Amino acid sequence: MEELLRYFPEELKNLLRQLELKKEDLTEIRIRKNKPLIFYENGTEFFLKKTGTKSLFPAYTKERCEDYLHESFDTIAYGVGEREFQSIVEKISHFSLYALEHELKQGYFTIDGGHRIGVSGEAVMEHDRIKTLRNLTGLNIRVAHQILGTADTILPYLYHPERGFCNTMIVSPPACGKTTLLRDLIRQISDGKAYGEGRKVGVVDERNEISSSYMGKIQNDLGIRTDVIWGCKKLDGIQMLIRSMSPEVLAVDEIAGRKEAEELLTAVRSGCNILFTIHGKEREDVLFRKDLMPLLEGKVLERMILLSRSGSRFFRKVYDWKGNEEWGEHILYAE
Amino acid sequence: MKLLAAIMIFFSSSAYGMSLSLEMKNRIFCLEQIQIGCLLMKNEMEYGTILLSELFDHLSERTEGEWKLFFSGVSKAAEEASTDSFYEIWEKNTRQYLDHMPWKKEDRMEFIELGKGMGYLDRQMQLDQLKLYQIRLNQKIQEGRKLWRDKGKIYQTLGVMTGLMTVILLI
Repeated sequence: MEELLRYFPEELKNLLRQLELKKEDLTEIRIRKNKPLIFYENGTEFFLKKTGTKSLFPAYTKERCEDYLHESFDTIAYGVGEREFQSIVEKISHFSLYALEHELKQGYFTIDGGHRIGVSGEAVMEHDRIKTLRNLTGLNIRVAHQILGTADTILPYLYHPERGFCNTMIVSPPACGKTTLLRDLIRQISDGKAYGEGRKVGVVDERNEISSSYMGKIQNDLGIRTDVIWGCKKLDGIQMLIRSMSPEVLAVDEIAGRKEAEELLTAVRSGCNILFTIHGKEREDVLFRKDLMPLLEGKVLERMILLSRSGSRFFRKVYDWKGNEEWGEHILYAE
Repeated sequence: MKLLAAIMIFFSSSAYGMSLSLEMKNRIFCLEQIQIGCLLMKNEMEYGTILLSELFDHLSERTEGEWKLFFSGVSKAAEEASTDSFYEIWEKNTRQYLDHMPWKKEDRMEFIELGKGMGYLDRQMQLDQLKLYQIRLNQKIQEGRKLWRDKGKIYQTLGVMTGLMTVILLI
């Protein structure tokens, strides 16, 4: 936790230390100017009290505080003052907010350790486009977790005894761990396993979520045969990687749009295998998506991994693509 | 004995006049040094996307003397991020390395104020802040030069003349 706490001013740092937060449980820390500091542990929302303890948020809504506890919310919750907020921004940007202009226009930047900082504030426009953000008012620290081995149980089902790695699509609603799974799959495909030799993997990481690169250093372990291109459009990245790095497996996160699907189809026809994620809840959600048609009609997909969640429980299924109209009737694996 | 005292008075009076003139000249030189430093900073910020710690490290390589020490100190402290704000680093290093510079109190205060926006402002605002400071600095240099041209020589002459007068009066 110290790697994150070092960005906080002394008083706030000491209060957070008292909470004894564990990095593996912590998902987000939300800091808003002159508002209470809120954080999420395993998906549950808490706020920091002035006493250095945490409190479950729903129990301390403003009304409840005033009605039941006869105390104003502001006297209980620790509000991040303007000076403190500025200090966090300064430290988290290494006193160089000006150098993050390119990242700020996307609304986030990555820091040492692979943690992602989402920002909100005043947008500066130039030719109808966001040039950068200034006068920041909110920060969202998304704590990076690379879970090594999360793909262990799934990976054997993604290999064909003769053809090797199968073209795979991961379908998942938000916050079900699709990027985490994708990251571990990339690592294991690249390093190689008993059921498949290590392959050259090319990763197109448009939003820098897979590699969490910081100052030219890839923060997450993506394997020994992985080449990453980040910060560019997926279409450009795919073409560039195929031309320059000759990947055997091409991995892309969150494809959206027909052109991207067409580009992946071209990659398959050029001899690459593909591994990508897409937003969706059910298998049927993706079957009739127009933007996916090039891949579906091209009948190049061999496996589909479906992720879902109910409360704090996560479910994963691996479907087989038979190469006909019946999409994945055959479940290879479920957990 | 009288002659010795007269010589001493003459020389000390002349030296005082000269030191006043030299003080003005040194201040101009000092402000010119800051101007060069600002120009280097502006160029690095405008065309580079490096961190402030690296920027000051580059500046320390291109400067000498107390400025080298100052930029290097700022770079090191910014890298360590030991304080809550960049302003604290800037102020501390100014006092540590540049305190004995031949500048006026107001020059020093304005230079320290320059550190307030650094580290927090976006590129454009940061450049605007530097530009504004440079304009003020330029104005000061012009005024200082004019003052030195007008009064520098007068101070020197007055020093010598006062010395002579006193010697004549004493003798």
